[in-house]
Amino acid sequence: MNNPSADAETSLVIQAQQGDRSAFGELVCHYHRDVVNIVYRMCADVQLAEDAAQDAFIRAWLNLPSFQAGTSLRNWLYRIAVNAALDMLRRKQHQPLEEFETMMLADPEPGPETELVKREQAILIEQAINALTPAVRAVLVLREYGELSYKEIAAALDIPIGTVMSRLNYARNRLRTLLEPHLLHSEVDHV
Amino acid sequence: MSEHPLEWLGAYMDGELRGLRLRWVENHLDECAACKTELEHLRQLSAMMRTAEPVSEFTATDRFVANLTLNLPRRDAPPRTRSAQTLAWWLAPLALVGLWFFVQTLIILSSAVSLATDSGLLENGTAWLSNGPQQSEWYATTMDLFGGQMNAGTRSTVAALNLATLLGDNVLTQLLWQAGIALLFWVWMAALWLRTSRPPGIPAPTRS
Repeated sequence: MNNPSADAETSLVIQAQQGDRSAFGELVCHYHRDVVNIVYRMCADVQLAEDAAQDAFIRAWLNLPSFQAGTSLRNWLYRIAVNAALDMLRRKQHQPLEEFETMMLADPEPGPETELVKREQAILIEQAINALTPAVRAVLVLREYGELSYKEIAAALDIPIGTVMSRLNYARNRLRTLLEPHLLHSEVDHV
Repeated sequence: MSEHPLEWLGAYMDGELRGLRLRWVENHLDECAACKTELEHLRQLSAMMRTAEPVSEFTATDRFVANLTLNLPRRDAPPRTRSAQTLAWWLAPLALVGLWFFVQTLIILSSAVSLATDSGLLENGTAWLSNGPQQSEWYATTMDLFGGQMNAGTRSTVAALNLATLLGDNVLTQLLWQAGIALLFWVWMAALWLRTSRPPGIPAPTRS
């Protein structure tokens, strides 16, 4: 997919703001993978993620007239996507932590293939992220997968920057605790 | 060795530290192997998360866009009043500044005319421009009741107090006007700042 230049994107946004569906379609083409990836990391379920992504793009379409030209469309879409994912999660039963731990104990499929190992790792990571509360997960996902700054995350979730930092610290410590026995090196002792 | 900056390592890795805090963490990392390893673990965790491919396949972009386009609801044309509203937000403080200039000009002109009339420069042609009452209420009452019994000294003292009252009333009125306009201006500017600093168009999550 070709990335539209900033000028081309602005032009597409203006056309879409005036009701041009095909211009909006081009913008969706460009941001689809990023947005789906964000909501997928929030939901850990493809079907939920695609529903949330569709919901997010529909909300974006409806609210596009109030989008301020010159600000980051990507960050704006991420904010909408995270809110859509949080809504989706509220309607869904959360996967409890015990389920993650049960999965950790299960005997993984044998096989030396790199692809299999990678897939196994990916599953472990998804499950560990999913074990976090949605509020903490949203901060982690926007940082790690959305690559937003703390200030942008704070604005997206309407929380103070200090809360962003403390939630990120908590999320990373929790992930390390969950993943350390399986994927990471041993704990470091501080003197 | 100084205290371990464990709670700041994540922010350091994310490039979010500035100034003294950044230098403190950097200096500490130069001499603390344990914190360096801790930072390395954080980087390893971050890299693992970012490189982990989604376990399942997503719908192809083209198909997703086609489905989405079919489901896009009708959107009403953007209301034309929006730009007028925005313009009004910006014009209001300008109008207040204009009002302030108008009031200032009125005060200066009024004072100039009053001074010219008092000094006889404009003779009687400007009597209709007389600058309000020349007697305060308490002065008129006092003069009605005790005017006949006052000697010249008391009469001039009371007249001076009358002038001071009239002047005070004028100054107070002018100050009230200016303070009112200034207050309105700054309240409006604060509201404008709050309005523009909040990113618009972000739909809030619905409450279920």
